[in-house]
Amino acid sequence: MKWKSIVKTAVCSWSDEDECFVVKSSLFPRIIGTDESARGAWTMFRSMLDDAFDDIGQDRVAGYKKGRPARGGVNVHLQCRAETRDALAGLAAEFEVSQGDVLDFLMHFYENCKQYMPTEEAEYKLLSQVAVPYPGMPQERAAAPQPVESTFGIGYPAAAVACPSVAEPHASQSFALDCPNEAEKEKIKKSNKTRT
Amino acid sequence: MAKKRKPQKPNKLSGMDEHDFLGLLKEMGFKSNQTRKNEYQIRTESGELVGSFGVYHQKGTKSFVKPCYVKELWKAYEEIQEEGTAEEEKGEAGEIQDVEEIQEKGGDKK
Repeated sequence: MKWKSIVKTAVCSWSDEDECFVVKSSLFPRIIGTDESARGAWTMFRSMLDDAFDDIGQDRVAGYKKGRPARGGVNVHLQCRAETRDALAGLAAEFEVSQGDVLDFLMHFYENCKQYMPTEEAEYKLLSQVAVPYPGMPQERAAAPQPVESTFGIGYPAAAVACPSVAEPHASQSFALDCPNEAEKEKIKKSNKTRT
Repeated sequence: MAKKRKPQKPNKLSGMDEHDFLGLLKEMGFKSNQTRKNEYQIRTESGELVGSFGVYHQKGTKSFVKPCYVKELWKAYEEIQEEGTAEEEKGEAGEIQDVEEIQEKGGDKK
């Protein structure tokens, strides 16, 4: 096990249960850095790894066997897209680990980062901002500005004001084109403020 | 010699105070040594590395060990136990094989 491989497969994420940031590598999960700040958790992880690396490098780790199969690994035969296979091989070369270790890392990464992925609730919230009706949407929200047609196709004027980062590039342009006057613009801004 | 007590799996694998955590380590047959301020290394009695953990000192409260360390420690304990059992079985199987080989050789001579 290489020092570089352990660091490259480490992931930092917020843990609600631990009430701190946790840094852990899928390659050697028995070293965990924890702190109230992400930087602090990384620092702790690195210093612990430095202290323990002599033992890890020389395979003086309880419960770990030298060579393959390591850590009770199991065989998996699966079919995936050709690009995925190539990407797995690429990551394995970059991290200097086996492709199985890359899969372990990807699962570890997903487990730790899924809290930041859009949920159904978050998607509904976004939809309410652009005023596309969804089942169970409150009446006043359904009455908010509707998508408008412009020379750039369908635009969402409200979205351009509410969340410019997620609005499509043409949305802000359609906002400028489709709002006939300043009063209308103010009205949309106000309605967005009350929603957010 | 009195048989060593098997450690009980912590109920919720939640965080625990430093005293309880060190007690659990002792029951598992591990020992800890401080490497830096708030950082400890866990080793087996034979000196093999098990892992590293951190301790939190908050004003007015007991030193606290985060749940993630307790979970990982228990996982490590189970892995070490499994490996020990597998090696024991392998050893026993080897002994039986040796006996069978000797008997077969003995049979051939006759």
